[in-house]
Amino acid sequence: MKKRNCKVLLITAIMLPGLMSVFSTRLTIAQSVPQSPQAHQESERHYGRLRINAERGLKVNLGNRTTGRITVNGWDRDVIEAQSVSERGDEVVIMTRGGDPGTKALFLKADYADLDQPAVPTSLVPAPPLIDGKPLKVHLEINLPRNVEIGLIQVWRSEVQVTGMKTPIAVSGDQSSVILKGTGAVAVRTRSGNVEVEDANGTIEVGTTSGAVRVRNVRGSVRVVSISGPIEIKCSRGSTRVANTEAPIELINIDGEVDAVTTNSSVRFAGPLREDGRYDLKSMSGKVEMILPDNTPGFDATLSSYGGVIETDFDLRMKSPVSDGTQQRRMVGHFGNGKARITLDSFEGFVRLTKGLSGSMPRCN
Amino acid sequence: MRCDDCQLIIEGYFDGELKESTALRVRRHLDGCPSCSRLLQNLTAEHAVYVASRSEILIRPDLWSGVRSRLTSEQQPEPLGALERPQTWLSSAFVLPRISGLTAVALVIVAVGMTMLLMRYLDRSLGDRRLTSVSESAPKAASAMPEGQAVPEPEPLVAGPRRSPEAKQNTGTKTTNESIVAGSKLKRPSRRFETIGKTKTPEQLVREAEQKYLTAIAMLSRTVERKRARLDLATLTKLEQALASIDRTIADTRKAVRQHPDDPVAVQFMLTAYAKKVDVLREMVDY
Repeated sequence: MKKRNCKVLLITAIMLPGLMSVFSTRLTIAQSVPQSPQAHQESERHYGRLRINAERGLKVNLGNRTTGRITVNGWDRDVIEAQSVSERGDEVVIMTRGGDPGTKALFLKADYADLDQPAVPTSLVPAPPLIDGKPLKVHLEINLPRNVEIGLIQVWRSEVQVTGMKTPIAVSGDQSSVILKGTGAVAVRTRSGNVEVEDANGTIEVGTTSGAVRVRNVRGSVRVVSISGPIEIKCSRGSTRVANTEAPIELINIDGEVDAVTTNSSVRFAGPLREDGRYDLKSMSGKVEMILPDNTPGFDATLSSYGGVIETDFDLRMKSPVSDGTQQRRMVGHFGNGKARITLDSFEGFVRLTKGLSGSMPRCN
Repeated sequence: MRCDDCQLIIEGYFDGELKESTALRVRRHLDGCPSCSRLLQNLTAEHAVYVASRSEILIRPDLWSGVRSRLTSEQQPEPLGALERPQTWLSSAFVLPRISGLTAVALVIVAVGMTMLLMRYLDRSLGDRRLTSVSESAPKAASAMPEGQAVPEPEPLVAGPRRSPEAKQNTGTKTTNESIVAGSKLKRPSRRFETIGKTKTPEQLVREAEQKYLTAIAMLSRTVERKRARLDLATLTKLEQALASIDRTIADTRKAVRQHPDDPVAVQFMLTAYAKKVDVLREMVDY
């Protein structure tokens, strides 16, 4: 047994760089930076609500001169409606048409209106108007046909909210919080901004330095990488791969393969197992816990901890003798049909495989 | 550098918050890009607006002389009643410079003393609680856990009741098949979700995580060293080759993290390599 383990380890160690390159496939949003309007392109400044017919194959890029919000709402009309608003009322939307000969692009950006000149409020305002000594925030609100492609939304502090779009959404922000609901595939990168994704169809990729990440009701694979942001994935129907350094990882009702790694924090999984699923939860010094319903059909489990405690409520048929020394504890066992494969490991933390009441388990809508 | 990239960080450049190398790249781009230069000019103009708005509330020097003369006229003594005299004396005692200085010193001493007493009391009570929590959940892990990060009690969803601390201290692994606790439900650690990681910078956290792996590696390496004689030469050579390969990966990924300390992907890359080394050493310990 030990020799077999050794061989497996050797192979994995040699293949490590390859494995890790797969693990660390980078977010590709940086490669799809939108084409900002070139100098030769004509920009029009609109005051009040702007309506444009959405042409087939149109790509829309969005921006905000200010730190105000960008809100996109998908609707079932072939019209694009855009409006900039602030606490003063209507502001200006800058519209720029462009793109390559093959593609049509539209750039919409929020800007200040010149309210000192009511006759021509669309005049360029060189410096931002101040409210209570702070630059005014202008919010860009857009209604788009659901199938219109949106280019990378690149912001610094602006909040981004996108709802009801069928197309993929990519957002790159720094301190911006990002909320995406009912969209296609998602790729988000922030530094400290929180990210919330709900009801998305397609692959979800989120990378953040310290923002919190919440993903719910998604039908694609999920990949989240963070340094110090907590991660919560609930009701995902694809494979889920998450990693962080600090802050809890919470996985609830994941119907796919699971791979969760953290260094200093806890990892917790709650929900039923997929019959032939693979579940790897690992922490360096935090607690690792898996809560399965009491009607779980079966699994093969490897529970290990170098310096922590291992516990299980399931009556496992041991595959190998329980290593129960003062250090390096390991329990390899089989339960029921043994089809799913569970690996729970914490170097110096608490490892627990818990039996929960099936009626009390969290549910998905 | 492209205009998009420049415009994203131009505020940081203007505020002098960028790294020198990034600032240099922005400066070079600005030299050749009129539109971005215009943006910088706009920012400068905005800043001027701020400065102007701040200077509007500057106090003119003649205002002070007016205030002073009004104060002097208001300080004329007025005749006092029998009851008002002790009150006036009491209140004036605290505004005398000599006495208020002494009072301030006394107040500081009292405040420091009270704070120390309070801290000692809190330390004692928190320490007790922490000790209980750690001994209940993971006695072996307690020494290696960061202070205050005791493993919390398992959530009430569980089917089996918790074992006593004594039982847990006796053995590390245990299978429990006991009565089901009804009516319990999953509790989300929402408070932790909001607070953890806010006090330390990501770079500090990464350094701490790295240190944690290094400590584990050092500890395991010592154990492996003691057991070295039990390993046959061929196995030992292969394992050492594997460790050397992992070390090279660690070195490469560390370099990437040093260059991009905020990049979560680079950080996870590095920590995965460390974790793999820990795994290999743990297997060697099992031999």
